[in-house]
Amino acid sequence: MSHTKEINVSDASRVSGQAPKGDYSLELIQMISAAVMALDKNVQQDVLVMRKNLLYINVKECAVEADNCDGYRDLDIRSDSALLTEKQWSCPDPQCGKIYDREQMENRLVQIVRQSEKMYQIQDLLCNQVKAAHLTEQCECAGSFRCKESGSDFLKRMEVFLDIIS
Amino acid sequence: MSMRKKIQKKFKTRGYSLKIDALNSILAFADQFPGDDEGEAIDLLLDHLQMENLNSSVVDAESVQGVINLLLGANDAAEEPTSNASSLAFIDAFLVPKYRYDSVKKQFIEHTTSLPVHGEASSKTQVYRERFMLLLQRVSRAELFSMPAFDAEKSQFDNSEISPIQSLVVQIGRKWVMGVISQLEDGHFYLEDLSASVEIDFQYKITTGFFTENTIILAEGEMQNGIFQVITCGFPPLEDRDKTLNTHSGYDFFGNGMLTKEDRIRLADLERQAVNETFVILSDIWLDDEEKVLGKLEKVLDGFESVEVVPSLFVFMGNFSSHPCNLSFGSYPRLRKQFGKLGRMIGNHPRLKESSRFLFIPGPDDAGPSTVLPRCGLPNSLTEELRDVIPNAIFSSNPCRVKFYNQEIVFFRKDLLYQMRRSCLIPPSAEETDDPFQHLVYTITHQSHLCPLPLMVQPIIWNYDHSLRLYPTPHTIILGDKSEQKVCKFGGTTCFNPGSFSTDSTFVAYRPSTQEVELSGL
Repeated sequence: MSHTKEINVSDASRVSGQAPKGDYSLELIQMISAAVMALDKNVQQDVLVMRKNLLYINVKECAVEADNCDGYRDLDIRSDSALLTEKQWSCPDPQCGKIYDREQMENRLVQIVRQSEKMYQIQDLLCNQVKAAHLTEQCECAGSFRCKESGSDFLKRMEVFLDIIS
Repeated sequence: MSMRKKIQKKFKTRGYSLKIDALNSILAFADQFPGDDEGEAIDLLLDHLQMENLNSSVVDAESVQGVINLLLGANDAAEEPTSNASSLAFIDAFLVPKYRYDSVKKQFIEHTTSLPVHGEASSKTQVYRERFMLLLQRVSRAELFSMPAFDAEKSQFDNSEISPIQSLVVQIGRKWVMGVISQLEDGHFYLEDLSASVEIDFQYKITTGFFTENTIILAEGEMQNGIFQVITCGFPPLEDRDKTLNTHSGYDFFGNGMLTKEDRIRLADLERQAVNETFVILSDIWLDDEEKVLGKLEKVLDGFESVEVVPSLFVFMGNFSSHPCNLSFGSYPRLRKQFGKLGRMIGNHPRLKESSRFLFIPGPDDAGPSTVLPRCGLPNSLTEELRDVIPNAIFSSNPCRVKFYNQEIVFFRKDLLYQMRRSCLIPPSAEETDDPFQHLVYTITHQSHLCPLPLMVQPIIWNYDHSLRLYPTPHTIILGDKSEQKVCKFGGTTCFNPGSFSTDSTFVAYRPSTQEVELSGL
């Protein structure tokens, strides 16, 4: 993720638990995660009692612009609560100190959710081996097939994203 | 003379004496017709009252209320057909009822419990099995394959039977089988049915259509060295829509509710009469290209603002941005503003804003949960500004179903033609047509499915595969595709592609009453 020019971060704090007013990208992420889960009434209960399991974001520079620096920073929202109070996240290199583009970061989160959804729907079914035939209901060994990633595992992962934005 | 006195005089003339409560009821009734100075409504009321054969000449509220209700009710009913608010129904893909065919009971069973978006392993298998069973039961009614009532002499060519693939191991000779084309091993193709699979040899004559992996075919051939040598093969024969409906009654396949035969006849009449109704359909509207696309769109709206009868429906299909919603996507707030701008542009056309409906269908690269189908409507966060201007705009799923009186219309936005051509296992047969769009329409109608591609190529939510079904075949299918504008009429079905508005400046004006497709462009 390359440095970009400074962006205006709205005043509302992340800690307040509400997407800052006017922050439409966050609303979008909220919608996507919520839509993914809202369609599944089974997990609404789980959503209500979910734990704060936050995502560990790795931010590293890619050498695109001439004025980039090699500074990178791990943003562990889970353990570093100070991160939530900072209005902007910036490069730790004292000679650089540029602010990370939040829109880009938010888009990256959106893309992770989108890609995960797609991967769920094309995943292989397994018994002892990967299921090859399409119409067979049982494995040759008479066992049943199961998902590589189950619906409930997937939804737990998605809860993390819902947490980040709420 | 006051209305009160007028009423009293009229009733006296006819030999009635009015009680006070009756007089008040009649006054209230008369108020419904403010321009009626002569009191013609009262005369009408009196006519009806005389037909009632009241016991006495004293009229009370009770005896007069019945007649009043009758007259007012008839008034309301007369207004119904002219209102076109009820002519259109919009059915979201996620609300289409799910039916699966039970081969034991020989009927469709509705799925009534929850349908999770993230299904269990068995749901994925059911996608293929249910597609297969849907076509198998349809094929059983096809002339070529319907079993004779008595096991009389059947000619191999007049009357055939579909053999289960399992039986190929033990039986010899020419057989017909039905199966899903599957690549179970690299480079080796098999036909799979409900019980077994068999490897097939690929050099054979095909009928019209795109034969891709995961399409369901009928093949005639013979076993040789463990491989089914195919002589001819084709798609399961198409069934006339009316035949399908007559076979299954009491099912809400389309999703707009159960209709009686009388309802259908009445709606068909209304549909025939609605000759002035037009739908305008555009696909690929890149809102971020303000100069060209929005400019062109403004011209289209200007044009329709000034016609005598404005279109009853505008359908805007995605993609709504020239740049797909991927890792390098620019800015969601900017996109939201662009929708707002579109809303205000529509708002600047008062006649359209007043009388047209606006339906928005997302494209494959638009912002949303993912590229998996069906895709839900555009997020509220993006469309809020537009909805402020056009509060009754509809943001539906892709695909999306629309009912116009009796006509079943399916909208689908996907660059299907390119993908189907790429995924073909055999070059399509040029015997009947060399128009790729016709091959495409032939394929989806015969497969009774909008997108018979492998799930790896086009992921589908396992529990919602039924929302992509075309069973019975709808009257109209609108495929938004980036390929050139086309129309194709097939049996009783009209299918067209409006083309890419942003690239080619093409769109379609459709007259549903006559199923007339006007291919248009700027």
